[in-house]
Amino acid sequence: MKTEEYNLKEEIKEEVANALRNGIDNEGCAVFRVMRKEHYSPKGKAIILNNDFYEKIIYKCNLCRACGDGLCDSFQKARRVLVLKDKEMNANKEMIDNLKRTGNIYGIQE
Amino acid sequence: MMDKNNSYELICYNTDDSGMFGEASRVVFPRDVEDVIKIVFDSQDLVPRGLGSNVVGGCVPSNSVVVDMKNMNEINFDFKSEIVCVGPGVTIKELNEKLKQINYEFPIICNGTIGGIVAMNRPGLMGGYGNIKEWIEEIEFVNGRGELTKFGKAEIGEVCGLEGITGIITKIKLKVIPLVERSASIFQSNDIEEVFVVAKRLRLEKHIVMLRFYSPYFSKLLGFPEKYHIIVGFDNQNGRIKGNDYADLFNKIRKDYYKIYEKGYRDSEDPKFLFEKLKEFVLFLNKFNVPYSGDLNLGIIYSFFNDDLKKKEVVKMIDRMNARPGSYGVGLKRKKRIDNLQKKIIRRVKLRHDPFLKFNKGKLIDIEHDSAEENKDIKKDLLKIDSSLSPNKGMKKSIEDAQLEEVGNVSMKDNLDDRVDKKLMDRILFNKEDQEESNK
Repeated sequence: MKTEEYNLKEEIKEEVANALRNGIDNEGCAVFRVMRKEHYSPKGKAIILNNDFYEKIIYKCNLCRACGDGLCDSFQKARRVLVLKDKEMNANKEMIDNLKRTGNIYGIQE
Repeated sequence: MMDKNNSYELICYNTDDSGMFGEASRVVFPRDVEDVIKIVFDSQDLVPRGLGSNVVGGCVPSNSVVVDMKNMNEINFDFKSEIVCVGPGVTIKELNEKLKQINYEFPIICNGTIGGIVAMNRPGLMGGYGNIKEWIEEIEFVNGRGELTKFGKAEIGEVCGLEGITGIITKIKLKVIPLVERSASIFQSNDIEEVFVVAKRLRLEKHIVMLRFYSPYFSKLLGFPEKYHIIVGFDNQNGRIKGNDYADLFNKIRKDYYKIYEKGYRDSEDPKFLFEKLKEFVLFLNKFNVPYSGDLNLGIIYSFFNDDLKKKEVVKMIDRMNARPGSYGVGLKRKKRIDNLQKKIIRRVKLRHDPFLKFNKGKLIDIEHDSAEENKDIKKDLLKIDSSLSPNKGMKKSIEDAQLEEVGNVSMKDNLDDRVDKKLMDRILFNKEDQEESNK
């Protein structure tokens, strides 16, 4: 495991454990309201991260901060860990590739 | 309906807001009544779950199949009877968003799905509207034999408040009311006597639907001065805080517990007392420096702890004062609080609807364990009768009882009302002077 990955994981674990103890507002989450399953909720994702599962479900978050201020930062860090673990989303890779090639994320060439 | 669960999916269903952990063997997501009936036939140990906002371990599984009800979220409104028919997976927030579009509302405001709130028979934030049981017209549920059953007002007690041990709720008919423009006033004081005198008077007001009480420390966390506060909610425009300010205040109160959790007070108790006993309990909490909030309409005091020793002392006091569980329910955490008579009644109801013991094992009562315990209690009672035949022992017992009563008695003065200046209170709370001036 890379040092950066290890450090990020430690940070995330601390943050999500704290958020879980302090209570998380699931009802405000737009993703959860549509999907209606516990693992899509901010609390569910926090539990997943707290148990060291780094899965693509972490990408299913709008980063809208409806669940509280702290958690979205942790989810963003978790995405960084996924990138370091080569579990990045194809769409992300494509966007970065487009940006490098054409200067915009959609790949529109002038 | 029966999804194949990943290990990370199952982990999310192992716990609820209580912080207790169990183990879910599988999670199922029924979409309609047929799915629920099939699940009941197919599985032995079932734990129905809504939002998992329970703080007493009400939906913690023990190697059970978790029935996630959130997909049963249909809402149908009947204008004629002003009754809304909802699935158990609808949250109060979602219901009120829908109802708001047609200028109606459901006034029991709390976190959770309607199924969960009905199962726990929880009150809302505005205690003046009572518990959810008072708003139910009809409940439809699937019992342990897999039969779909409908209960009207007279029988809802066999499902509502029994924490999901008798069946899985599949549909609820609720009364709703036309949208109300509410307002609020804030009463603050340094004197606890004054707080209870004012509260006693306010409880009699017809249009007051919320009496939210905060200790000085809790008030400080909410951004108020460090004094006792009562947030007085009106179902009309008599309060001083209106419109957007009222909405902001209400949101602040709605999420008040986050503020206290942040400070490390993560454990809480919710005893419910008669109004006359509230002051004694509050003074006791002050003595131990325990922060608290309360619903003075319902007589519930929520005390928060960051220390097990303090909690032990407070729980002892709660037991001594014979308080009932307020709004959190019993779940796994507080089974000891139920007395034997209640246990007997609950067991009978449970066995009537769930003879194969399929639902929510270990919640509210332990059926196998309890029958043995009950026999012990009967033996104890018999021994007591024997010992009371000896005169000295009987006298000792009565002395002990008398001492206990003395400790538990309330020294409330009932003539406190005279000390309040009614005009002053009208001005502070009801905005009456302003109204009179504007009338002039």
